[in-house]
Amino acid sequence: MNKRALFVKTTIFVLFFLVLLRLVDLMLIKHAKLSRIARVQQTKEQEVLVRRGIIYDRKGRELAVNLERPSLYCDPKLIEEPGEFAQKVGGILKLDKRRLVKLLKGERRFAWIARKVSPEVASRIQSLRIEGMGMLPDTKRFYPKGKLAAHLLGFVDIDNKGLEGVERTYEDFLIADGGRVYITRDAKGNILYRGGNFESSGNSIVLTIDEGLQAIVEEEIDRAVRQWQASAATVIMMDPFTGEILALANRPTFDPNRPGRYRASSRRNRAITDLYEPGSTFKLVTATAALEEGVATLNTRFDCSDGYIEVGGKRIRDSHKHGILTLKEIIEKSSNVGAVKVALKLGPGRLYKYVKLYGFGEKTGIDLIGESPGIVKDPSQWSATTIGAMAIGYEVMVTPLQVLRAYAVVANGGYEIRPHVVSKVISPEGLLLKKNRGARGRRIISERTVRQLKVALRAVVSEDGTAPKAAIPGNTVAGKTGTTRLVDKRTGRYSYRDFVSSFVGMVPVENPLFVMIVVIWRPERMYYGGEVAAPVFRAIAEKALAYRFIPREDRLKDIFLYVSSDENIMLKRMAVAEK
Amino acid sequence: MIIRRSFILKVLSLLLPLVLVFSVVYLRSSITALEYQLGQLQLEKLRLINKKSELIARRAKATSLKKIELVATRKMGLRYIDRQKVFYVKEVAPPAPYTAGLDNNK
Repeated sequence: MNKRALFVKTTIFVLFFLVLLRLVDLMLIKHAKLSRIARVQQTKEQEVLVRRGIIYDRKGRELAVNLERPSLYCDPKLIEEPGEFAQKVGGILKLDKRRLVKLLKGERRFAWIARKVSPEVASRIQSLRIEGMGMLPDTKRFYPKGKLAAHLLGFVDIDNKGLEGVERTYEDFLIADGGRVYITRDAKGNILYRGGNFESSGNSIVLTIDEGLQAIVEEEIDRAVRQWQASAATVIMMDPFTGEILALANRPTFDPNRPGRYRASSRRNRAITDLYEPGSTFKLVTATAALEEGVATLNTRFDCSDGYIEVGGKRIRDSHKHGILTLKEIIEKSSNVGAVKVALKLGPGRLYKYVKLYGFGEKTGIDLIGESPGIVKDPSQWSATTIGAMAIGYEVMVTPLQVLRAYAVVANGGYEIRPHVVSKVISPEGLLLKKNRGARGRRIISERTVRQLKVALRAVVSEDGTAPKAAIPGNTVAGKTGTTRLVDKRTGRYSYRDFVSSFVGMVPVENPLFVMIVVIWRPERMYYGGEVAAPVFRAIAEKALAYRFIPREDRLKDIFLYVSSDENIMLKRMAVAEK
Repeated sequence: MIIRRSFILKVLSLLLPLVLVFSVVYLRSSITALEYQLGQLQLEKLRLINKKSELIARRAKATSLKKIELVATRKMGLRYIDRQKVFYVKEVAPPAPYTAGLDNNK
């Protein structure tokens, strides 16, 4: 072997040996340190994008969905020219430039620039390629129907946490576990998939409300508030057999997409939080107690000819003198004197028993947050006037939903029910996680009393009753009006100016499709429940019956066309009775 | 013959580790390529889910019954039905052909 060959071989050997040494150094000695650095360089930790579950109406129409709206942040330390940054970014985001500059001061290493911006704005910002500024994927709750069913749906905060309504009550179902996912990237930043989900969704919720009925209710409540220049109003429609809330609306209202722009009083769900004295709608309790306890029948007569009665030194009056009235007529004409006489015959114990039996003074158990139980005094706390006042719906504070539930008991044949707004909870995979069955509770009042009450309540909407304006041509309606004075906060006495007008009823009377309550606070010009609230009931009920294809009851024989495909298409008008 | 076999063994002993190393490198790079593709697909899936959410929201907004009603009543002049003039149509099944048998011929 010549010298040159030996030199080359030795050099190659030495070089390979050096490479080997370096490999040993990198792979064995410095392994832990280098792999840690590599992990930092190649792996990116990313928050899992969490979407709240979708909220649907009973027919699967979306009422609350999610939109992809990224959030912008920055590391103030890495922003070299705060003025220039504020000029560029503030211009696109339409933010105050001085506020942006102020945001960049201090020792913080993280600051939100803007939360949940539109994709267009995000891409414009991204194209600026500003060092120290980044974008995080985020979702924004969006209510596509705007103000529709706002009080029922509720709203979320900037971090998508439920604050009111179903969003709050069903928070645990709607949110999903987030956490972090580790993404491996190459030198160019391309993502290498190593398992794990980048996003997760919460469970979806199906409500009991029907968007169609809700839209009808919202339109008519708006019309009523405009017409009577009322300070507030509430309408609730419920299936009396299952307790499913079909529609619920309050005025004033708000847009859940921008809840911060409205006053807290507009965001309040008055249907379950606001207490009022129910007035004559409460005579249902007095009548039920009298019929159930055998104190009176519908035909028992009471002398109301004086037009007033004194109870505990206070005079309770009728709107005008009625003469001698039967129990049915007391309900029909809404006689205060008659109702007080019935209550005096019953005595405090028996009246109180039925007040509690109907569930007044207790929460209805609706699956919404903030429900008030109302105020019902124990008989031991009653004054001398209480029995007279309570018989006509004073000295007792209730929510509109409690009154509606009491009438639902009559509508469904005498059974207790629990109102609810959520019918189903469904997992993202489509599995049924929870179902709210409208289980019928125990019987509260007898079938016989229910029949009698329905007769009396039907009379209310007759020409001789207090609410002929609630009558629907072609269908049977039963209900009761209520007109209550509000307490004047300045004087502490009942006002002669401020009233609450209400009507609560059911339609059709036999096998009702729904029970509904209309409560209008402080109407102007007119205040009788039969004049203010009853027409709203009728307007909503007429449209609702048409919407649900409920036929008229008056000429059932004539309104069905029977179509047969026998030979030629043949129309036969046949009587239902013959079927 | 013995010489020839030992030569083959020598060549194989050199080639096999080489093939093995290259196979491992090839497999590793294939897996990385696959991971890259999966990463891209995952991003595409995320993009499509976002797009779907956006479209669901737009559809829900566009099909708002309140909006439809406004368009129907104000722009198209439609009205709610007069319930007094509505007839409901029920289909009557045509009579079944006569069949001889023990079953009732309904």
